[in-house]
Amino acid sequence: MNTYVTVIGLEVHVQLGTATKLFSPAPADALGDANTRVHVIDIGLPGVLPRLNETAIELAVRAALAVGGDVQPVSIFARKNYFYPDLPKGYQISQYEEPYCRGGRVAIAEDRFCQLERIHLEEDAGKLVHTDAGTLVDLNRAGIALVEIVSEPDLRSPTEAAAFLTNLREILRFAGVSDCDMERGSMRCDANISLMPTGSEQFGTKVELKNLNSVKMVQRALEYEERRQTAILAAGGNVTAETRGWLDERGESRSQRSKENAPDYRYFPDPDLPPLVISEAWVESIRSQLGELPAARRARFASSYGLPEYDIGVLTQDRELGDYFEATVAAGSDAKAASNWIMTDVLAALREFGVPLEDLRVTPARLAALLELLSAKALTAVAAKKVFVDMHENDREPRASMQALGLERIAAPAMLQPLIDAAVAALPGAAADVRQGIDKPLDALKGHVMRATKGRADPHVVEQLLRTTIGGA
Amino acid sequence: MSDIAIDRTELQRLAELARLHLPADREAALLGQLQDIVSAFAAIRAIELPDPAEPAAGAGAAPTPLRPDEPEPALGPDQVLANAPQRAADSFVVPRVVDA
Repeated sequence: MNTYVTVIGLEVHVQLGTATKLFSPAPADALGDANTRVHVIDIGLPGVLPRLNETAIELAVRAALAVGGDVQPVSIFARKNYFYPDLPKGYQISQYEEPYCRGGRVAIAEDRFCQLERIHLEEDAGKLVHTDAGTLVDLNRAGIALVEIVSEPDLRSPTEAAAFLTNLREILRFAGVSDCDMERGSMRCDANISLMPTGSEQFGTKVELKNLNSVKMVQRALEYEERRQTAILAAGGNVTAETRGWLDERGESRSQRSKENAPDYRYFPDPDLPPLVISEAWVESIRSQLGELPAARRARFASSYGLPEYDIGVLTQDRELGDYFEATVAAGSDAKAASNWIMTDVLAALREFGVPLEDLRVTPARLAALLELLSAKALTAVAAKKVFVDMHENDREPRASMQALGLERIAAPAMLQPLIDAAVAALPGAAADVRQGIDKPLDALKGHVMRATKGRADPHVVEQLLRTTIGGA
Repeated sequence: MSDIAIDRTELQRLAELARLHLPADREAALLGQLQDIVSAFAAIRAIELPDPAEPAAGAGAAPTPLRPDEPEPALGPDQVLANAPQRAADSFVVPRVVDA
């Protein structure tokens, strides 16, 4: 039994997938050259007023509903005051005492959940680049819409923290809230961790970890911190309340700020923004568009299609892929055959062509038609893969591709017999072995015929004809 | 909450948080003014409201208006940086800051 219990809580910032910023109509893509996505509202010029983005609220409510949170009918925007060059106004607009969502939960294992304390809306800060010549400030990101999801300290290990983030990311992607790309910063995580003696109910002194840019990094940083705090406590020492930055390449964290220097943000309600009112009718209309969430879809894919767990995991990794699968089945394909093709050829094609699923010209209906040709043995498995690529490249139906490529399966013995004879003549040794009852060289003979037909020959018919032609034991 | 006392230490802390330089000869005058402001709030608090649970903000006030999520042209970098004390290419330059 361990001497200490680990207690972890996470604060996750998620960038909402809006076209414009939270309070200004500047584009929210945050790409492009420095300071090209900046509106007068973002830099707090005198006389401007923030104007709240309706879609940001809708996506925030989606996030809340997707994790079972309680959307508050009235919430208040507050100013969080601090001086730092990433914040041109001198304050960040956030929510403090009255967040728009309370509660909710995220699964971390079968039948185990981490409760959420709250979710609030806030604007992002600008980007700073520290150089020897000074700090460069780019305000493209300043004002982008975020939600901050704050968990209860329910997580008991770094592994649970990783599971929380993985599941949260999946849910929010499914709900269409955000792409949740941690490497690109559209999902960011800070972690609070403390240790307490086993059996105790009093939490220990907590340390906040920052600079965690992937789920793996969150887990590594927490594992390191667990070891560091265990060593301090085991030696009879006390953990210092502080903020530590994770240095991934060194595999260690470094103190950034102690609690004595904790900032005093002097929050107060933003006088520029009346209360945010989210009506029950609005919440219900968003709920009705939310659709099925990952856990429910996984259960349904198992019961309706009888797919193996591995297939379900792949097909439910995002909403579009699962929709594509279901549309293929609805168009008449066998579920397992569709799943096999989607997990291999479809995903490979998306990578190779570098297109999103919606731009793949092999639509579900076309894939179903291709699979039908395959099951009717109109073409071989090898040929079907070529047809699949051609269907996307030339935007045509499977039968048209098959004919254009001349890939119809050849099963007529009359057409194959001359090729069989040629193979036997070309590989007399192999034929002799087969005649002695050794089956292995049969593959070489089959390969010869397949090459001659560019993969179009029906392998079963070829084998049959080879055996008849060679004869023997 | 009417017991918020503003003393010299608190005044200096607020000045530091607001990044204000406060000359020593003005401290006494400002302290007096701040104390007056805070006691005005104490007077407001003393008013008996019919239902103290009802929040003052939003009572009858219109909710915050919402804007459609449609992009409008951004300022050009030259406009954004028009008041920058120093710039390098299209970025503001400020004295080097690193998390303390």
